[in-house]
Amino acid sequence: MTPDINQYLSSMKKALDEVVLPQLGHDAFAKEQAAIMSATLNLLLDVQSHESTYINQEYQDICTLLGEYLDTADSTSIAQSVAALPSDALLLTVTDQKKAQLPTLKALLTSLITNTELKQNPNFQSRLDRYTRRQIARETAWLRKSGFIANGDSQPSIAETLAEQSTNPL
Amino acid sequence: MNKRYFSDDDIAAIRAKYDIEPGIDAALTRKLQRRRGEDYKLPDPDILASRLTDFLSAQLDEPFEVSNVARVPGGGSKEMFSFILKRQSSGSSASEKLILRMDPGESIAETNRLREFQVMKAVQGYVPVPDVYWVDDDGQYFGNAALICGFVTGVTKPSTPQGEGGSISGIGAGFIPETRATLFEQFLDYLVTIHNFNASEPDLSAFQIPEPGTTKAAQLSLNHWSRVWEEDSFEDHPVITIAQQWLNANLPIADKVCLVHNDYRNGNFLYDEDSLKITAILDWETARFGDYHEDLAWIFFPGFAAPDENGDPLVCGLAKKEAFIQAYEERSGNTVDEDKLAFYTILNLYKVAVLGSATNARAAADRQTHLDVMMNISTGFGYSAIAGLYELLVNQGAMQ
Repeated sequence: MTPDINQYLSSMKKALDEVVLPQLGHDAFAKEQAAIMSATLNLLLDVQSHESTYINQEYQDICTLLGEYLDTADSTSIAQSVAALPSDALLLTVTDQKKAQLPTLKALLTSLITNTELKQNPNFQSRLDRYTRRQIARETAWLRKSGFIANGDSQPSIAETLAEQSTNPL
Repeated sequence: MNKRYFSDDDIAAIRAKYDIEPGIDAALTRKLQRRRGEDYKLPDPDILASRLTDFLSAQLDEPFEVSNVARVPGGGSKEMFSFILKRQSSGSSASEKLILRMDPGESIAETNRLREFQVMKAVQGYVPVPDVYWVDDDGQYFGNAALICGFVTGVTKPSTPQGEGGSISGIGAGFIPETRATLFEQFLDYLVTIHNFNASEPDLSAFQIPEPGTTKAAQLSLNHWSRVWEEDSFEDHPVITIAQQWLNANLPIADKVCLVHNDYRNGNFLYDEDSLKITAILDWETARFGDYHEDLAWIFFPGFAAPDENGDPLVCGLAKKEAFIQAYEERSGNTVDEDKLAFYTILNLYKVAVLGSATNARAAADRQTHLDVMMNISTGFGYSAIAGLYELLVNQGAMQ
């Protein structure tokens, strides 16, 4: 597969930076937009090849947590949420299907977080904390090139973050 | 549900669920109704000039001309255009440069132009603000809500900054020692004036003033941003859920209810670099009546700080936090309560997390702004806020 997606993105960024942007000096709004497009291409170069790995890791993490506590939580709202899930929701193998299922699974996690019984359960709270830290690590790595993450260039890349999480599962 | 297309029943349900200020409810409801329509398109310059002329015709009795309509870059919220208005009356003519500030389809903060117009009008003469002239609250003339205000000269960040901040909207801009004290005096004085502003006389009908001695001020703000989260988010986030729980359980009583600017910081005031005089306090769109700790917690946000010569953080690049609090208490007569400051620090970060991670992404996904590319990449500050919010919640014992 040549050129690959990164090569396309890299070439687009080069043309934008070296050809288009210098010609936009008279139009501040267009120049501003082009500069943000260039920054976006730079971010994409850092992350795009890891999107499916990200989704799979996110899916694996939430399924692990839900799998541990769905049965132990005695709550009507959770039972209703579980009943609303497709029967194979925790067993999906195709990335696109996992991506589509994530909002439902995350809503289910919200039901667990707001469950009064689990609020008093130190094991769940500890697992939730570890789950949340891993989610924040992924989000931070994904956006480290956005210009809004403190010391972004020295943050672990999404590739490093996902490799570490794969090696050390939730 | 598909949040691009809230049905009338969906809108009625979400309005009933959250008790928020009517003026904010109006803006958020308009957003949901507008979202169901087509993608937002940047206004054609000729059509915009024509709409501007139609609008001004309805406001002015004397002959006038509009010229030099030009987009103003920068900013991350509303569309801004400068233009020259030449009026002719009694044989003489006068020209002035004005600013048209207009809603795009959606923006990072969905706010109400009538509220912005009223509060800027109200504080005129007390705090330096651009003159405000007219408002098209329902978008009758411009398609979307808009207001027209005066053009004010000045800079938002120094040409010779202290430190490296300030490149984005003046956030984190630092000031060299020779300018710091003069700017700090004015920055503090205007803040005190805002917090002690007498709201009984001007027309502030688009605002709800919560009862002092209750938790209503904090509750209204929390409800506002929780509704925005529900309207704009793509999926739940554990930090947001836990923040909502903690904030609801820890609402503080506002002993005093006052005008709160709600985005008072470096980068949001203009000043003259020669005289060091602050020429305008900007960005009043999220102003409301509430607890002054909401402003103080915002001002003390570490992201707005800039280092002094020794690398120590200065509040908004101007003063050390302890000195700021002491001077604020002396001049305002208000006592700074550390617990309330802690609550509003978390509430403020919650707001940033909501609008940064949810509203930004939603506006770009639904192609509703003039800045879609920026809305995507600036989700970075929303997720940065979520990470910061998590640490604060851990410190409060809300998470392990």
